[in-house]
Amino acid sequence: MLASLRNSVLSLVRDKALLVWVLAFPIIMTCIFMGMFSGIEDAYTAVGSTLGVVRDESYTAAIGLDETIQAISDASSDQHICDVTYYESAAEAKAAADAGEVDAYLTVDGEGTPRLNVTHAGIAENGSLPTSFLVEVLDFYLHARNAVEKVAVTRPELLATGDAQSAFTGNAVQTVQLSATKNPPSADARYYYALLAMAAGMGATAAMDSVRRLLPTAGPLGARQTLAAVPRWRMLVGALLGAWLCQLACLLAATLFMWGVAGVPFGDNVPGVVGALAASSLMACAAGALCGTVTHMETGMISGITCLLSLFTGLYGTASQQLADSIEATAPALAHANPLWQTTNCFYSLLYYDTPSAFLESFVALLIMALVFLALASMRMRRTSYDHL
Amino acid sequence: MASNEAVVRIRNLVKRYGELVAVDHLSLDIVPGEVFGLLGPNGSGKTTTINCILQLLSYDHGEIELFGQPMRPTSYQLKRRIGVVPQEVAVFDELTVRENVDSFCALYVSDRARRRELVDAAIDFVGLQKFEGFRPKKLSGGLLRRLNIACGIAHRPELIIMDEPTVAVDPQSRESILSGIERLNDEGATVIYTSHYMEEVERLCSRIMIMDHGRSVASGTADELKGMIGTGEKISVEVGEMGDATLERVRSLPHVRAAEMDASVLHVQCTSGAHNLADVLGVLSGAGVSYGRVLSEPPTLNDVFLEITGRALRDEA
Repeated sequence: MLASLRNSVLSLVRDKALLVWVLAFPIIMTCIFMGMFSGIEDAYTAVGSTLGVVRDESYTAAIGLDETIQAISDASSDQHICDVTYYESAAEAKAAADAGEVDAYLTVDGEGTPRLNVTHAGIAENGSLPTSFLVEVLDFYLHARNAVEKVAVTRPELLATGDAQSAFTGNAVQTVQLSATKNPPSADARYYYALLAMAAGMGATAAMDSVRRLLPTAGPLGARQTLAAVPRWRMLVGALLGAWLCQLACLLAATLFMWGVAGVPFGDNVPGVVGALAASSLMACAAGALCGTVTHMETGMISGITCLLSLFTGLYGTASQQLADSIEATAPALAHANPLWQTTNCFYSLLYYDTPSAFLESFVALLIMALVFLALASMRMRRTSYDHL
Repeated sequence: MASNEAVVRIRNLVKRYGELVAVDHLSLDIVPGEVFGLLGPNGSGKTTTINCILQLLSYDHGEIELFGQPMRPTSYQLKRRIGVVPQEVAVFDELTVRENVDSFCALYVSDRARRRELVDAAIDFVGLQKFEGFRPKKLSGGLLRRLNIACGIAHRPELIIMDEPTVAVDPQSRESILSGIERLNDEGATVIYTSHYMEEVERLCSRIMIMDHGRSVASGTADELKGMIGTGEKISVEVGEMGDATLERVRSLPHVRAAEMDASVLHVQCTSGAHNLADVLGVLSGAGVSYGRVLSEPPTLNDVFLEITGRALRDEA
């Protein structure tokens, strides 16, 4: 078995096909993805707004408004949501907004009511998201000021101290950072996970080659090895083990490259990541072993099947991801039957879920698939002899 | 196993492919230390017989014993005593010469230190020391054949089965391979040898079986086989002027099967006879025909083979 394992490892390392598909391919694609996705995080990040403020008499007279604006524009504060530029007149502020220097500008009318002026240029540049924060802030300010004015009329003694007044205005801005996932979301991680799953799938060709060269039907080399003085199952186990170790090593190297060079997040569960890679490569090896017993199965067919299954992991862009998501929503069993989806889901679960249950589900699913493939492969191998040539 | 017990014993072996009977009630015994030649035209059943011996093929009827024990697909102890050199070069393209020999040796010998000695010896035996680190793609046809042999004999088998090991190799490599087989035999190995090169078989084999249509049609030593057929020597005589009447007189000699003129050379094919050459030369002298160089060749194994299996072309089965 050890000799068979050593043969398998040496042959696969020197054959280059495994190194190309399971190591070089994901590394090259990672480099391409790094270039393609260099701005993708920005697209998923709320852009801080720039606000122009007309600092005239009305603005100064508006109770607590300046404190509110200063609170939300303090760069050192957790509540910082905009940068403020002050103008002497509304005309200056409007000109700045039209020129795109600020997203919107704030004026205060004679009754002390603040008004947020949003220009078409600002919306066209950054959308409505940045200014929507400001609208919320101003709504809260007005609500608080009305409350203060009402208290001033009904219970003026409550406002005798500054502390009471600040109790209303101090919470003008309440920003709370909520985290729905274990780690911050990564817009491009899904692509890299799908890429790893695809590389694992491609690795099935290595196992196919390793197994096929041991089959007597595959040619004189297989027939010659059938004459060995050791049971065939031991040689097959050795060959498969070699293919699995080679593939796992390649995937580990590719994952390290993704993590170290491209900064792809994998969470902090290192054993989990290694386990996911081990399970996915084992599944691929088992599938390759099964394919190896099918006489007319070619390497190109495995590549084709892997490319097709990758479509449902979201590797090929937004449309592919939407397709994958819709299949998962409408026919989850179909999605779960895809081994590459299970591989991707392993990494996803490790990154985003607090509990290991989702990861374990996919991990176990991959192991079950591997067992099924191996069982089918061994059944077919038992029926494969030189007689079938 | 007793020393005179057959290394290979086959009784009434029958192998059918549908309607085609590839091996038809074949029986044979191969004794220890002999080089047994298995001859036959394409499709005669030689390779099928070998594959049945090796349990690569199942068979419909008969018994096969190796070293006195029934051979089964799981007879690993018996397989350990057998080495096979297939007709096609069957080695790992990605492994070096040394790794290849070691790899095949490891299928029979698990002890690493012992294997190292055997691999060294096998590489020395086929003269591939200078090419130990080469991969098969870098080797010439002759070197590949030698590697193929080294992979088959590295574990020092007692029975070596060689299926046309000298196909497509140059004369030097062929000589090296043949002398190597003789050395293996001298060291005690029993060899089953198939080839279409009759001179090789005649040189190497102590006993020969000719197969045709799945059956043994003749067996014995080369001389015994030659004695089984009626073909005698071939006589070639360089002659001067010779008329048709003289040619007819030669043809009418009692042991002359055929006589033809080819330019100035008279070719005479004789059947077995004691004085064929003297008879032919007597006719020429009597007719006043002057003659120069005279060549008399005894019958070859090739003649025997063609006599027994016929001269019609055979399709590959």
